[in-house]
Parts: sequence; structure tokens; C-alpha cells
Amino acid sequence: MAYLHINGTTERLTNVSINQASTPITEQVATTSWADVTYSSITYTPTKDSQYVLYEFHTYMGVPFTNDNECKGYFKFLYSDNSGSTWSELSNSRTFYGSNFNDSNTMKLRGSVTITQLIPYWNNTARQFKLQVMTFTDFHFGLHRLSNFYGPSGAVTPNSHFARPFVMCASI
Amino acid sequence: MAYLITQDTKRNIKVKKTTVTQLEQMVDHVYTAINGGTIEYAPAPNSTYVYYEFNSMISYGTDLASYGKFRLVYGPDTNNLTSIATDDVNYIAHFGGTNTNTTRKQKDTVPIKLVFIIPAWQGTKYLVLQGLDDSEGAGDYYINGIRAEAKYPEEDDADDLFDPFVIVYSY
Repeated sequence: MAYLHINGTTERLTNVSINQASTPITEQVATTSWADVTYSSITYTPTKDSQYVLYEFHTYMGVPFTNDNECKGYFKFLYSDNSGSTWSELSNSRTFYGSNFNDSNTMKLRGSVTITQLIPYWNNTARQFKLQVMTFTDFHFGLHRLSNFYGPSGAVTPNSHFARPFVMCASI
Repeated sequence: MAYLITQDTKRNIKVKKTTVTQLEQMVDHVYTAINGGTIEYAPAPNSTYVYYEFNSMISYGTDLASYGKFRLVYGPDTNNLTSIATDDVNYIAHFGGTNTNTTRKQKDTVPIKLVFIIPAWQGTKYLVLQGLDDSEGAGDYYINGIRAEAKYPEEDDADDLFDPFVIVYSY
């Protein structure tokens, strides 16, 4: 396949890499300990002399199927330059998806969410990225599944939708 | 198969990432520039639109019913800013809730990705993201991080910071 650029410029997204689950995957339920987020891992080599690498992870998240109230998910973003032997955390990159409850009421937050990170260019070598997730005591959090929807007549059928999460990297 | 591409779909991409040193409390009821949301930009020649994207974290404050508003404005410099459209239509985004019922108040901490499409212009302008806290009563909202309180009880020793970043390009 050949491309002829007539009016291109030098600044654009290059070397776009996307990994997506081939079929909808099962729900991942967070605990109060850190755990890898399924399908958030990608190994990426940036275009030489880029300025940044853009990382995006997209899936469903929020209240889990088994306990659909008090939702909080807490994420950290890690990278490895030695094929996963050791991991470091990108500074000032933690993210969160959730809501505090108030008294006996529940906040059933859930949705289709993208977590985006911008990583300064390191060099033209491979680096592995991944997300980890945890939740908190008295809270719950699920990934890859939207569930427990209620309409005017009660529970909606089907009341679960499963995601095909994807992770994307590109050089800027 | 061969393709003749006469114009890139995303041109003059510009990225700006800001290192923050503190969680920023949004100012009550008065639009104020958000740290990390300003970028100087000249659209590529013959562009139709400019794409602006701001990424960060927003976190509820110490009270309930937190409610934050954002708008994008522009100008030749940061002291001479104007609305992009009348009444800022299409250039405003709201987060949070305003229900003051004592048992149904909202305390969200979520990633935000604010996206705006602006008709292209000639020359250089500053695109400035402004924000305000419009919460009722003592409610408040924070930007560029996660309140420690949101992480109770396992990780609530300190606030987390998030370095915001802006991506702009022409098409």
C-alpha cells in the first residue's frame, strides 16, 4: 500500500497502535488491593524524536453487577522498560472514577469511560504500559460490564452489556 | 492499492502538558483561567476548524452538591479574551449536581476530557479554559487532582495531583 502526501505537515499522530479484545470480556471486580486492569497493557515504541506518547484506555466501568451501589475505582498508571520485570509509576497521573455516598442513599455511577495519559518521549525503544485498579472499604467497582439498568417497568432485559476494551498508543 | 492524500486530517498538532504543584480549588461563581488549560495556537493554513481537548481530573470538595462549570474563550492575549459564540453556546461544560436534598447529594471524582471545535482563524490566538465553582452553599470543586477524602480509608493520606494536558490541531 502506498501513500503520496501532497500537502502534509510534519506534526501529526504517528505510529498509532491499538489492541482491542476480539470479543466482549467478563467483568473484572476491583478489591481493596491493587490489581492489573485487564486489556490495559500495551508495549509501544515511539516514533523517533517525538515529543510525547499518547495513551488511551477505553472500557465500561462503575458499579459492579453483584453490588450496584457506592462506586469508586482508583487507578495508577505504570510503565516498564524491561519487559515487565520492574514497574515505575508516571508522576502525577493517578485517576479516579466514583462518587461518595451520603447516608443510606446510593450513587450508581457507571458509564463508558476513557482514561488518557500523556507520556514525555523517552527514546526509540519499547516500553510497556498498564493500569492498576483498586476500590475502598464499603465501596465497589467493576470494569468491562454495564449492568442493573431499570426502566419504567423494572429491570431492563438484557440488563448487562459487556465491553471489548481497547488500548491505544500514538506518537506526537 | 494506492491513495493520493492531498491534506492531512490532523494538522499542526500542538500539545502542552503542565506540571502542577497543588490541587486547585475552583473560584466561586467567577470564571477564572484553569491551570494547564491555556495554549497559544495558530491554525494551519486553509483549515476549517480547530480541535481543542483538555484532559485532567476533577474532584468534589469538602461539602456536598458540588457543581463546576467550564467554558472555552479566546483572544489575541490572555488579557483580552472574548466568547467564541454568543452566550458561549457550544463552549460550556458542566460537572456535578445541584440537588440540595439532604439525602441525595452528589460527590463525584472523575476524569474529564473537555473537547471543543472552534471555527479556524488566521494568525495566533490564545485558547483559554476557564472554570468556576457554582455550588450552592459551602459546596466546592477541585481540579487537577483527587481529594484525599475521596480515597477514604485505604489511601486518604494526601491529595493526588494530575498534570493536565491540552491537545490542539487543525483540520
